[in-house]
Amino acid sequence: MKTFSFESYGVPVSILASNDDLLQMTIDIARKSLLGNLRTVVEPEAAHIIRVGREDGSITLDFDGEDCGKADSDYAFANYFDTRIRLLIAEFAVDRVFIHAGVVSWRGRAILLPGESHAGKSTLVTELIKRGADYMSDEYAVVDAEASVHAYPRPISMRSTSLPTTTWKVPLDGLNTNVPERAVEPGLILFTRYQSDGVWAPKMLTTGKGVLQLVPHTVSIRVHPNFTMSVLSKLASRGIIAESLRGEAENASQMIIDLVDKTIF
Amino acid sequence: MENPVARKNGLVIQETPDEVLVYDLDTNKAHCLNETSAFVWKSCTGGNSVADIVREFESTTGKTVNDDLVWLAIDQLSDNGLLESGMTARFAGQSRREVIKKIGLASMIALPVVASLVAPPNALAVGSCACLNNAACTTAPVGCPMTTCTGGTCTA
Repeated sequence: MKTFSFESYGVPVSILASNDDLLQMTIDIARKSLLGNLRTVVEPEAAHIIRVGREDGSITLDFDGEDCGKADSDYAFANYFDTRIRLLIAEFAVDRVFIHAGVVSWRGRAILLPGESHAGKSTLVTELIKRGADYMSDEYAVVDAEASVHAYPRPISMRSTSLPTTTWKVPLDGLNTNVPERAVEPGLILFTRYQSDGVWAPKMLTTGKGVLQLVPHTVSIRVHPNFTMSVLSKLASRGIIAESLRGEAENASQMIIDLVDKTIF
Repeated sequence: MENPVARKNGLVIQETPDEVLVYDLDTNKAHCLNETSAFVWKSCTGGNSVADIVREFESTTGKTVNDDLVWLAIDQLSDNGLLESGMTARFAGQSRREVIKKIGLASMIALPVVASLVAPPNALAVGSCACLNNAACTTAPVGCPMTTCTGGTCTA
């Protein structure tokens, strides 16, 4: 077995692969997936163990003893592992809470758009960038103990509206935007979903209701409930929280910016 | 009859100015208690009867309430496992709905509300459509196409 050990956001991980090529491919995916937030360590303590092997032309994968099954191609493995490694770090991160959300910074305040996959987060984030917002993430709001929001700037993952199975990555250098280097103060947490006839009618939520709505989008809630609840409470009390249906992202983005300008600045 | 006792063990509690947030480590449920239900919950010390809690409530808020309001809170707290032992609300032959209507019309106090949500079962359930076989797509989170696993992702 070939081994590579690293630490990311305080989470120790060891990858055990059946050969060098597979190990290198796995490391490359991990580096890309974690945006380089990965530090090689020699002897990690209590590391999460990932086993990767080849079997009858397929790639087998095991996460901490959980048999994830077989990938029938390198492409399928790369896609799956890319998601799994990020989720592992997000779930066990020591001093950060990862919230599944699109995030931009507007006038130095973070706008969080928590939402499920396929909910249109990336589209909305892209429209906000077109209106001058700085890009932070289309996947995770990374929140520290003081509830400041850190960027997780993966290339934006877009999906075709006519062919939902067709996705492509928008490289960051193709966008006319900056990524904040420092943590950003929370501004607006907006729970919104697209509806073709959706009318924008933001309703403010209390801190408690906001936290409750954040829970289903928070990766670490079961692993670190004390820390996570503390961070979510701070986040919700430092920002404003609203919910609304929305129509097309192009119009909704302006409404969102107007809401932030009106309620925060 | 025993006095109500708020559960303390196995809970993560966060207080905000107007609400109390509770995460139940046993059920992995998050609860948000509004001001009224939070007041009643904190008053469930085991030493207070329902009548005591009513008196305490009235002296704190300066508003008149009746037993039904406190029972309504206790009913919800008990339903959500936030009391040490389950208590059956005493609504004097009325349904919960009738009591809510009656209190809602008569009271200047917000009705007690305990809102709850279950935490996702695991990290994969938080917005990931990743898969290595079709079976994984049948349990994929809301928003993921639930048909076929193609190229490591659930697709329609």
